[in-house]
Amino acid sequence: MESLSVKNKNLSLINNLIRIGDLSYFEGPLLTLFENVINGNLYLFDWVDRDEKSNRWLVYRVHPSALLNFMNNKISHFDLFESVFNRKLYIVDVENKKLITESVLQDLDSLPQKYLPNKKNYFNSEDCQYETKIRNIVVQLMHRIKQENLYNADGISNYMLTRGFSSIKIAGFNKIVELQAGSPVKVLGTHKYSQIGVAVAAVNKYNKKMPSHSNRNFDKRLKQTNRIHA
Amino acid sequence: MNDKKFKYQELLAKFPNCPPADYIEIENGAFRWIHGKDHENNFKPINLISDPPPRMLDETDNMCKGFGLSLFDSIENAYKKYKELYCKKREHQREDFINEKGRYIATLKLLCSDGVAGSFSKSGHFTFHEYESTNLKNRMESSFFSIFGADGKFVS
Repeated sequence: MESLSVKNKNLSLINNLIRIGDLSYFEGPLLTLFENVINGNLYLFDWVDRDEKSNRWLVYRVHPSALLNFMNNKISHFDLFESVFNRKLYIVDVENKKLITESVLQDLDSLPQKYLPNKKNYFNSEDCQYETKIRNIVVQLMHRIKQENLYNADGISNYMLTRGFSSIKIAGFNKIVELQAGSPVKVLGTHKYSQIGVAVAAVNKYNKKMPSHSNRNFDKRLKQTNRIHA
Repeated sequence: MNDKKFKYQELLAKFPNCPPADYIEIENGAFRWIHGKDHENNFKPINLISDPPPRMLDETDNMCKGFGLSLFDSIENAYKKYKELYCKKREHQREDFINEKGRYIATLKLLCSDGVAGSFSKSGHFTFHEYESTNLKNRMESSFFSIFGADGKFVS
């Protein structure tokens, strides 16, 4: 199994997670969804490696709308992974005959290239256990986030999460604004869903392509124009 | 549910309704991924294989069907599912997948006296629980289908 550079042990998160269901299952879970009971955040346990003693899971937080796009086959597993919040990754090695609650979750310093999901891996409902239950929970969470956060975030009514999306709409501008392809989309705010996704195309408000270095200026302008506070 | 004794009965007894009451005896052709003619894991349930260890996140993964065998209703479906799962994996997991599941598909002739089968999924997969005296090796045709060609690629 790949040797990893890890940082701290995370002792609290794993005890707050409840299993919602398996997005991919064949003779055991392959990609499993958990919810943090404290704050409703969604985490995926993504099986990435094993040896003769343990199975290794990459753990990361996903946004419900990105997850729903994955389940609707609009984006691949790779795209879903690209939308991970804050790029914060955890790793847990679960030994044979042990469970995740008996294992240690650790902050991952850097991700080995080989652990990136396959770009051709798309959701298959046949491999998904409890699909309806998962969809219902994800949709409920989306509604809750919309009510609790988006309407309070100085008019952000819609935003981009992955390459599968094409625009970020900012109500203050009253127009669609798009960012540089592949760049992180960062909307600064005081709410917990303030950092999001990867852009697909770059068109500014004059409908001209923006150079990649202009993202910082754009963020600045976005912050000023919409009074979104860091 | 019939009163015949199942293989691994003492382990199945730990689960309620195991095998499920709607599992039925079938007399049919069935297809299973195997490693070769005499490999010890050819007909061993996933939960009884310790190397590689079964993937378990919590207690719910230690379920009844982990003590059954994965079979398919046709050779085409067995091949298709193998290829789909293989292709979805990360590069380094693909070799592990071959080592775990094998590289051949065996044809079996199931009899009602062999055990009970669950419902077939859309991809033709079903779980089979053997009766105590069943030896599926004896139900296997002597020739296997090789999933990979001599060039290491999927046969077309």
